[in-house]
Amino acid sequence: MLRYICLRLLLLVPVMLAVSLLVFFLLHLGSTDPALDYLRLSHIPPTDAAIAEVRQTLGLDRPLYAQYWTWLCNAVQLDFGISYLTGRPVLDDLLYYLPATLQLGGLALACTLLLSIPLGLMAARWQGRWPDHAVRAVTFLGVSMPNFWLAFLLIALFSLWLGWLPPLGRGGAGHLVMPVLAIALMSMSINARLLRASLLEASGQRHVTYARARGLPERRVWRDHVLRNAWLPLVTATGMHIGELIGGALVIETIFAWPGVGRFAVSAVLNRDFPVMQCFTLLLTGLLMVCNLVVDVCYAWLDPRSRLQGVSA
Amino acid sequence: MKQQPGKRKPALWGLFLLVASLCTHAASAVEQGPTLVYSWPVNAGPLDPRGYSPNQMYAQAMVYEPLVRYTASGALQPWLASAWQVSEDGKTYTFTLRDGVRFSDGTPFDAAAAKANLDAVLANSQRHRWMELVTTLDHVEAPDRLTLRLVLKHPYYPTLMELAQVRPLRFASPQAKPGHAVGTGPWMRVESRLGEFDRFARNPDYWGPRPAYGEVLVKVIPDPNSRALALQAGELELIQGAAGEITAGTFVRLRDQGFATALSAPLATRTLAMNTGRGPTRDLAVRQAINHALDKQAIIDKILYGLEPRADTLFAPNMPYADLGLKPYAYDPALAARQLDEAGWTLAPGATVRSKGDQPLSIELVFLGTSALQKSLAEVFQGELAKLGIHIDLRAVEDGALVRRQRDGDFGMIFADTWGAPYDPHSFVSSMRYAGHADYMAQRGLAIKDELDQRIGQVLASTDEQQRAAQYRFILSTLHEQAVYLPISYLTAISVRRDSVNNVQFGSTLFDVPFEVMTPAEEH
Repeated sequence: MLRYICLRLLLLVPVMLAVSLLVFFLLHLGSTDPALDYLRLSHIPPTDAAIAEVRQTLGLDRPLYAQYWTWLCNAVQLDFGISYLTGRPVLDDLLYYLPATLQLGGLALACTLLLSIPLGLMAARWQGRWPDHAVRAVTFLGVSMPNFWLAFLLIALFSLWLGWLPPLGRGGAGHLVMPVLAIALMSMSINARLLRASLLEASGQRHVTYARARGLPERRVWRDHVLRNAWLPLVTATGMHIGELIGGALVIETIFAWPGVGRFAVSAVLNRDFPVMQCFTLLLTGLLMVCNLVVDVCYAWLDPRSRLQGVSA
Repeated sequence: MKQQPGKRKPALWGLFLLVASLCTHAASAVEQGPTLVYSWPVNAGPLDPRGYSPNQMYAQAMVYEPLVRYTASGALQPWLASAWQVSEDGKTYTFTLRDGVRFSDGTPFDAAAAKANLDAVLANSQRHRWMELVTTLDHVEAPDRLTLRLVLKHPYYPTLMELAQVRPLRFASPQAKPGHAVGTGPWMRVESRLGEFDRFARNPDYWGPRPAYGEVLVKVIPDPNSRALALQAGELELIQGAAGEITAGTFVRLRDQGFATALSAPLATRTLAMNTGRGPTRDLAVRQAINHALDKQAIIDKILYGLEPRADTLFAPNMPYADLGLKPYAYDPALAARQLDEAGWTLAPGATVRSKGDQPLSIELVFLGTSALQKSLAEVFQGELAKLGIHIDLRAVEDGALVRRQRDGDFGMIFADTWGAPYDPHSFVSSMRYAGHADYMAQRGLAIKDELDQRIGQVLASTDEQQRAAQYRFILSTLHEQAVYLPISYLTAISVRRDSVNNVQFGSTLFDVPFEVMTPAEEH
């Protein structure tokens, strides 16, 4: 297992390198010119002289491969350049905004797990009865509703109508409720539906029938024979949701004026802030790869079959 | 030069954050007073008086002041200079500085301080050479404590207008440490939290009328809908600006809900430039027909909710030298069709698009794909002109690509708003001479283009007011008669406020918000 984890971590290096190369050239081969964007943001008329000056200042007047090589040499020293938009080191900015996003994403993930598991269990345990119908209705809405729309509905309800929660910004616990709900609802709904389906499938297996025939109490049948097998798809889905949660944060942080990395990235994309986009993509790639690794390790821990396969491989 | 700003800025920012946090205590000790809560899409930036992005102009205008101030009527008002004289040859400007003005760190504002600031601009003139005054300014003299003399290489009449601009010719304390924003303005920034807010406190040593508010808290809210909701929820007191702070639809909704709203006088012109050097728009008849074919008022009423005045000329009449009484192109589709027929652009039986010889009357209209407003306008133009047999090929592009197409002349028609006060008309007209500007590229097909460029050069160097007015009349009349532009509406700033704030006024440019004249409701 340790050898497997080390191999996967080593794999990070070529993948990150490939992603950085791909992203760098894709960004620079587009039809936009960061120098023009810089001038537009600065309200400076884009004269030839002004463009030449900015290109020189930003290092855009050199060949693309030279720009990439410089970027790469700096990046291995954790210097990802200067943001065109803020004028600050990109990594400093990302690290400044990251805790707020981790706070939001972490709580959304916790919320997803804490709500989806009981809901999925309820729906499966009382299949075809009102708890099942209620859970399926809520999760159907949750899966169907775009998170930005839900965010505005939540603000309208809890801030404008009821006046219970602050509509935006970062502060106390009250500031967290709506953004966390807006981000988590879809993942929570997907997980609950998945767990329900998975539990129902597992409960129909022959070993469960055999367990019941052995006279085991129903609670123990569910705990040891149904749930144990139904966890696996949930673990995989949760790993996938981490990407979704970060994707959700891009929009939700903008709506709730949450000072996180998602909003920073959106602003960078809108303004073609290449150094930030490049660094953000790498950060995201690394984060998702580590999450996938954690999911795989959890999977192996929960399912001896996959562990044995991994070992034999 | 390469990478210098980048390498310098991290240190400056670090220092700035430290100083800003220290200043929080200083400011709380200085003065207390009511707080006005406003919002802006991004932080104010390091507030370097000579810096561009990420420095936000509204904030630079709060902290730093000019020698002369541009007013809404287009006139100039004494500000840090109480008087000025221009030599007969138009090359020397002598300013008498206002006595008793101090920077917010207590340093006196005098000729030496002013000269140090202007010299810093000249020392970095490459960076600021987009501004004609910087390339025209030869040197600066400070013969005595309150006299400042600007010596130009050649006469340049918009000198005072350019001195009024928000940057880079305003004044910071020569004693200010790097990253510390110290100006003479009514406000000083005392705290900044990235991605969250900037806090400005009243400058206790301000030489002018004391602002009624003790603080202005500017929250960072990037999304226009969130901004409107924040106002409704009481998290904000004021939404004001001309940079799409909220959509026209939201403005109307808030107005209908009882919020106090206001619109400024015209500040710039929303316009389309037509390419006289390429495609069917080379033909004057086509350009004039397009001007006659669109019911601009109906379009403004439907798409802009009637919030912007209809534009009949390139510059609004309230801009300097622009009140010329030019005859508007009236909405007259029949006349437009007749003009096209007479020019040989005819509609064959059964055809939906006019043609001349084997050339179809098809024009590429380039717009900003991320702008819902430009997209709506472009689609309406497409529909309306189709009725006349003109095919409009819509091309949505990104910001940078739009600027690139403007520069390359790669368009049939393109959205190209004027720059607004205080750049209009002199800076905007000046840019028409340079390849790489949308206007130059749009005008390059005119037979009279060389003469136009010469006249523009003459008007900028003119020292005689009457001659200058006559030259502007010729330039603007020619552009109007040649129908190079399709002016749509005059851009205005919007303002929506809660009852808690009174005496809300507009700045005289697109970039400033005069918080210093606003008053809390109970004090009004």
